[in-house]
Amino acid sequence: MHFKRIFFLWLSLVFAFPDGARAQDDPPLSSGLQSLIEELAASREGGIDYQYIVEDLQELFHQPLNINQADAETLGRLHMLTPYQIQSLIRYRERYGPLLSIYELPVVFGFTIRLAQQMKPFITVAPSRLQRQQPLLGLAGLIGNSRKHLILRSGQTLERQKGYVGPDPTYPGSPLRVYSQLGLKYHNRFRLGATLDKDPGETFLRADNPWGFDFHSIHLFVQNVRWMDKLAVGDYDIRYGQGLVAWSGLAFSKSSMVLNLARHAATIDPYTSANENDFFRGVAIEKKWLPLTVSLFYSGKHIDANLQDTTPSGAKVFSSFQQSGYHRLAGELFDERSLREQVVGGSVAYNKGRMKLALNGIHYAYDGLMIREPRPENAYRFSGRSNSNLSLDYRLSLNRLYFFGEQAWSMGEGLAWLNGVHGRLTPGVGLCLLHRYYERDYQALYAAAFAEGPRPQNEQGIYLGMEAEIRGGLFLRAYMDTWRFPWLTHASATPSTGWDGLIQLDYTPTKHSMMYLRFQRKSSSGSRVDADSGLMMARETRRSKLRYHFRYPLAAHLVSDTRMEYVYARSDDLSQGVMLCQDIGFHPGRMPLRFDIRFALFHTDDYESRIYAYEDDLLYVFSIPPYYSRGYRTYLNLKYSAGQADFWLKLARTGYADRQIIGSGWNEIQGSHKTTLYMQMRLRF
Amino acid sequence: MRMVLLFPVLVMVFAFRAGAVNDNHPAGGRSAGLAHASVMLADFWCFHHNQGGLPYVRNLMVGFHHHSGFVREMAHQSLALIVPTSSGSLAGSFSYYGFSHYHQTKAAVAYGLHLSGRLTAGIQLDYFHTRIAGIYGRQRLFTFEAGVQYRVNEKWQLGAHLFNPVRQKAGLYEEAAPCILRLGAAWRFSENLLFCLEAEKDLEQQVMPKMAIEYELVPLLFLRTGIALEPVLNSFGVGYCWQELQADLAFSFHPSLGQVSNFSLTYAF
Repeated sequence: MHFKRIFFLWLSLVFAFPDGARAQDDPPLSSGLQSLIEELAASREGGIDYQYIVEDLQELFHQPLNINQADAETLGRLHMLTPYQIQSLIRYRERYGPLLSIYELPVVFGFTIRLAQQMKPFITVAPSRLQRQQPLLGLAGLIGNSRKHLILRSGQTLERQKGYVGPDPTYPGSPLRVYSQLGLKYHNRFRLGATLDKDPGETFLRADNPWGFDFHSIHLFVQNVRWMDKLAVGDYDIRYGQGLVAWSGLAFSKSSMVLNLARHAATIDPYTSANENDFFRGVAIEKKWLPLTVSLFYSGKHIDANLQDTTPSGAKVFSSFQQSGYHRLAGELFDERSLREQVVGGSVAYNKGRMKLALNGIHYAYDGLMIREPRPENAYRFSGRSNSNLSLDYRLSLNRLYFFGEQAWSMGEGLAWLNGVHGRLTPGVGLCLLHRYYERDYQALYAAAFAEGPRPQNEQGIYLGMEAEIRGGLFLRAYMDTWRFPWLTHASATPSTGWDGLIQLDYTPTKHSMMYLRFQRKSSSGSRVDADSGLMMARETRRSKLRYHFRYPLAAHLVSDTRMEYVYARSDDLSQGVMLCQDIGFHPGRMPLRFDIRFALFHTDDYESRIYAYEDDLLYVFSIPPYYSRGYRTYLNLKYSAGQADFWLKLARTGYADRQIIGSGWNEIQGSHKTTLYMQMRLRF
Repeated sequence: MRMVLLFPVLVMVFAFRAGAVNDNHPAGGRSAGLAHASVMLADFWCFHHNQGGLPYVRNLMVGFHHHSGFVREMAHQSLALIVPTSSGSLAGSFSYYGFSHYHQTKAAVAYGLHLSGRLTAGIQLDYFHTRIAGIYGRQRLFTFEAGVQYRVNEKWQLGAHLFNPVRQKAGLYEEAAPCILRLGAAWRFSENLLFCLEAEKDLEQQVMPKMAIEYELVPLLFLRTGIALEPVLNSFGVGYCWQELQADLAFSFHPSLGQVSNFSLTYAF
């Protein structure tokens, strides 16, 4: 036994972790993960679905991971370790043998006490032994012995929206959103579930939805059955390499978790979300012949597309894919499931020690012809009936460095490269460097790799991220990303460039209090065509954000979160915004009731200086409304647990001081406030 | 042909950053690898960034630097010598920028000394000579620059430097040479890791923030990276000391203009 190891073990015992997190019954989202999700949502229009993360965490919360025998893929399910840290832990185990206690974790190179605290609810430390395979019991036995859950969620906006008003309303359905999910899980070997969803305004059990819900999804997933290592039937996710070819579901990019860029995910996962587009439907299998892993999938489904005319020969022509998932208006219903999509793909991975090399391919075809609007920025985007992508991805862990990357081809078109390195310079300082080069004609419709633009195409850039532990409890994180779009984009009528920088100071003075100060600035320069003169004008946009967040325990089980944010945006005009936000959370360890309250005031010049803020929400639900204009936002979020049933209620209101009409189009509300009420029930049996 | 194609770009670059003539082109491979976030550093090439670093050079040294430019016609070379004296250090340098039809030479002498144990200062006298072929002729300009450095403790060092504070003008059109102020701080995080932060303000331009990291991978082998904004420049560099010889190589990338390389070699007697 190394002396150093014993010393650190003793040292970390002195800084013993807070206990009792497991007394609550839902996993606490770590603050890092929380801000990751928040930033992700801020960078995208509409909501995001992070359910698979919560599910992974929940699963680990009830059946903690033994970090002495978890492999890299399983450690990835913690969603809080970088690939570098995973490799570092594996190397530590190889070198010194199994960990003796959870308190040994901070000794592993690249780990901190804080990280170990965040991991604690989800892991155990047990002697490493051969993994005990849970026997499959036959269908009846499986159903009898599995853990099951049923979630029912429903809610709506209480004010009348324009689309629901009148004797013959534009939206045919009720404003109620109804969601339900049933899931069965037998250890990690068997999963079966169904998700049903009806969006506001969609019909239920009538008209075009005679079967009830507008969206149905079923998944079946088994592991290690007969000769297959994984089999997914129904809806599933595919995630290859760094996402240059195929990546469905949530894909993290730039955030205050500045080192989290290297992707590492299971190639096949069952799909359990309610997003109506971003998944595959069919069959996927995986088989291991060590060191080779082969996976194949086929997916066929009808998707929404903006249908145009037909060609003289009678073929369908469409101009874009519809991603909203709403099927309420006549136009939306016309486009609903109007196009048949078929995707086939596969991957062959070679895993040996610290190296992984994989060849990935995907081919997709539609039963219609895509013809985009003839605008210059569309010149190199996908059109036609089908396309293929092929890529080679690698990971290599060398001493203190972790290399990752993917090189991809689009059939007959452009190339894309992504290469990165991530490592620790000293125990307290981590660095991540990423270079990407996506040609303007690299077309990959199922890709979701690191990119500033909406897709990995027409972009080149360099990202540098750094994290330093200045002293105990004080962290500095920063990143700087610079890029260039060599061809025109939606936002610029000429090639454009830009940069994005973030610097954040995190301070954790005591175990339960935390604060951070963050400054972020994004600048891009391109040009636009002036509407009056028809001349090309240079255009520069800048957006700076300054945020201070402070969490402090007011009393036992009573937590206060205070946030101040200032936004300064300059494009054609100057726009400024400010928000003050106070949250109170009551989270008793043993009482069945818990609640969160928020009151926020915001004042922004316009939508340009909008401010996003994380909201504590119903389990699995995540939407961050942008705060803009002048007004307040308040909510009450209650949770009550009674045995195997949990109930949630969320009542939220946004009120405006400077407007009498909210929203636009058919969602317009006559009035100065918008109120939403949601209820959720979960049964576990 | 290449020149013709690049001409609009060059015009843009000049208009954008270079202040047409008498520009103070930086030198030094280490500094280039750090995106020139180097006003607080004291090494051989410090007389190009802050003469306040000179008294820390205690050997007789010679050095050569080459900067490739985005095109060959924008290349830049420097040759320099530092002589330590009993009270401080004396430096002399000569640099050449441009090509036969447009070039600028700079000759300079500098002197730096300790004002106290932690505070150093230096001053440099510059002579610029610019020549443009054809009817444009030549112009001369005398000016000076000065800088100070302060070592707060073993971890922190600060630097400030001012170039051409009197805004000397030259030529037929009374064109002013740029007046540039640079302020910076360096933080030695650990023995092998250094962070640098600098802000550079040219009177006619936006503030140019720069940040950089230098990491000693194995003894005497350095890896560097830095970023400057307004305009954006990503730099990467490597340096190695081999007894009395030090070689530094750096590459910088501009999103639109492409890549430039820097190489410098110094020898200590």
